[in-house]
Amino acid sequence: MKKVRLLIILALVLALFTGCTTTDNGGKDVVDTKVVNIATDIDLSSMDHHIATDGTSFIAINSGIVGLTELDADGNVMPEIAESWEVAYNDDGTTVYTFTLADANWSNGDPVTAADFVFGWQRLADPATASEYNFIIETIALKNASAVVAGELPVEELGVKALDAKTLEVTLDLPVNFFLSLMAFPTFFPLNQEFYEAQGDQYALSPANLLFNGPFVMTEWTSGNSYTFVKNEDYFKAAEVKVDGLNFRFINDTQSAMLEFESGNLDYGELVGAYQDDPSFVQRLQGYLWYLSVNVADESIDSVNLRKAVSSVINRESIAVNILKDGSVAAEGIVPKTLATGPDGKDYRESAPVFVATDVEKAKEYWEAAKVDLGVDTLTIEVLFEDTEASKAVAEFIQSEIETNLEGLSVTLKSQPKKSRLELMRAGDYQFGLTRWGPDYADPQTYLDLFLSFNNNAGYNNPAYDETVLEATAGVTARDAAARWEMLKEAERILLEDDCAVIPIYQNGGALMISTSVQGIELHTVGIDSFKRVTLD
Amino acid sequence: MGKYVLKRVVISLLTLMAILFILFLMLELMPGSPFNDEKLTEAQRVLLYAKYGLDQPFFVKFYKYVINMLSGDFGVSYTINKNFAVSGMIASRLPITIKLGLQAITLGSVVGLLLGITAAIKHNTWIDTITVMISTLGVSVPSYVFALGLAYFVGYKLGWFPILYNMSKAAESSVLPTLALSVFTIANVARFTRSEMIDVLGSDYIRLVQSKGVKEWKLILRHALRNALIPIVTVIGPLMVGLLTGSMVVEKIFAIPGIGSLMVNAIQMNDYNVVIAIAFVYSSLYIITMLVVDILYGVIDPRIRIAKGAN
Repeated sequence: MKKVRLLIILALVLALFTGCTTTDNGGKDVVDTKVVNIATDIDLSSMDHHIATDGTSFIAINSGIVGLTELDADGNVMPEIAESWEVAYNDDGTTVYTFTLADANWSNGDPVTAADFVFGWQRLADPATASEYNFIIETIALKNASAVVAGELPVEELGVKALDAKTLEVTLDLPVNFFLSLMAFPTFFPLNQEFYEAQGDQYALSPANLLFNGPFVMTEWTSGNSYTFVKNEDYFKAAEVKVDGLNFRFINDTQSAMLEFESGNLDYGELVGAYQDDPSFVQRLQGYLWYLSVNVADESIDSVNLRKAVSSVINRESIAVNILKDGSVAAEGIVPKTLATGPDGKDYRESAPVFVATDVEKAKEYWEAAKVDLGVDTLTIEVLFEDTEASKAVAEFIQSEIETNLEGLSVTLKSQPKKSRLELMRAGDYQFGLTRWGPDYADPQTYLDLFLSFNNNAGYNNPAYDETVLEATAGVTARDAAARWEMLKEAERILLEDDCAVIPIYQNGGALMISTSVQGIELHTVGIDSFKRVTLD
Repeated sequence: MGKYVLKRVVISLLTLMAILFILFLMLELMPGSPFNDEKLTEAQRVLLYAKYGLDQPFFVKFYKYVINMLSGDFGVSYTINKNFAVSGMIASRLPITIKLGLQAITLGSVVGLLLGITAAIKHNTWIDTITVMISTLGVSVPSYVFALGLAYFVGYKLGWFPILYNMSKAAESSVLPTLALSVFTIANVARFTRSEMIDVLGSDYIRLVQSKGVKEWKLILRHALRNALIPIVTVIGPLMVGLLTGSMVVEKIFAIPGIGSLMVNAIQMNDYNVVIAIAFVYSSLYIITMLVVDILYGVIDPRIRIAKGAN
């Protein structure tokens, strides 16, 4: 009797499952095609390169669309659509780049022209687009960019012109050292005006509403699940592409992703490293630098000695090695490692001094001086952080370091979701805020600009600092690479040694699993990770 | 009966409106905003707020939302899939969640009923004890634990079924999530069925039927089960809705593109329109289920039907 029942249940279940079978796409399991399976923990947000803001989206865009230049595995600038270029420094201070474009085509057969770049940049700057990344066009000091973004000038006034179909002229107000490397960034990629306008408000919402000119074309995109690229045979450098396609899978849960990787169904994923001995385990250093932002506008804590006490008491090495254990390293300044190479051919951090270090005895002296500055015997400060595991652990460690070593100084912790933390910090409603910054381009300025008096919400305002940074950006020094480099170090010194206006903590590491049969994934501290030259055994 | 149903439908619609208003108000009061990345300047924020109409007063926003909603426009996603129509996002995901939910509730009810009936008939034997143990475990252990366990043992170690949901192999890859989701239903249904059946089997009219020499299976199916079903239907209603919300975690673990995982994502990313729309869908489902359960009472229990007819 029981067996019969069991059979009935099984039959019912089977009927249910088979009855619900949906369309079978088929063809996905063909064994002899070389497809790289990639896990992402964030869903693909946008394929519109002027609207996208996150790394996952940029990686996808970068797989299908290319710009003037690209970065090689080491982050060096290489020609892409621009096969060559000339630079002219004019007496009026402007810098003019003239690019000659290669014979590349869009996936609908249209040639990629200089006009596509002009239109793309105009759309980026157009206030009607409301691009969250339009600041980057001001970063490269493109002529009239700020006025266009502010809506004061029409987009046609931007300093980018198509001299003919294959010649593009870009006029910058300043000699921007990192301009060419930024040309590999998706926000600067071209856009085919005719196609774009034909799509209306559907542009980039599905593979059919997109054009590609790069190594792969997108064929499928199921929101919340997966998106697929296949090799673009019409890509003008198709010979460089060694695999048949890329298959991105959105997996929100790390444990399932890990099981899927162990089952051999994934080739690449950013996964937490519980598998340090696994040959697939890879650690990378990321560009993100985490720091304590100090609200100097809050008079109850406005003492340089207090900030120095806090900065000196934190054991950053211990945070990186014992707490985070993900390849993170202790910060030596506000500019991270492997971000920028100077005119001397060395990494910036190699030639710049170590500006922040642990010294508990000194911290105690600073704290004594701070008590006099502020006229108090005891003090409670608040540390704001976001409710992630890593931030919580770091904030708690900082709390214990301070309370153990600095008598009379206590710390309250305030945890908020990231979006709320940012909202509070933006409004200046915090004392010490654990926050981070990711670089937009390979130059120390991407960090130093943050603390200009007109750029920060923390109330930091030192004319000497402003002057130094601006001189390195726009002054006479800006044209002398070596002198500029020294000037940037001087700015960092003022910020951290004189004023201790921010307290750098650590540079983010990341754990990856890369299948041993996969080679050639290019990971960049700055810029977008690339699967263009990936190979699969 | 018709009048009764109509009245219930009107009340349900009013409840939905009230829920929508409260949702709107709660999101308005919630800290944070979809547009506050580190990199955004104040001027950009003003632009974005204006573009999506977030700069308008609360009641204007609410009024516009309701008007648009009536024509099926739930706005666009701000962060998860930028500029995607929320209605489209939900339309493609809701069937997956509902399908899984139905599979789980069917499997769960059938297995639960059989377990419960068996336990009641074999009251105070080892079969009964095991059933009680299973149902206690199923109720107290959260479904994500089962989900992880199934993913690890059945999916990874044994390799019988895929761990991750695959659109092109929907049937195969929905086995593990269905099992994980059904455990709670099995446990609940088994528990209720068992206690109700024990009650009913001990009642006088069953003894009467027994004394008339009716066959055992007929006695159980026609006389005992029918009476035991009333309270069970009551629990299946809420259980179904519980499945939808419970599926949030299970969907995350098996990477299922349903609305549960979308909801979790939307809350984390302050994607207002998506949060409101899904909460609205959940509320609608809940209200509809309760409505159906109320009507089903009448069908199963003639006394209720007659009483309502008299009204």
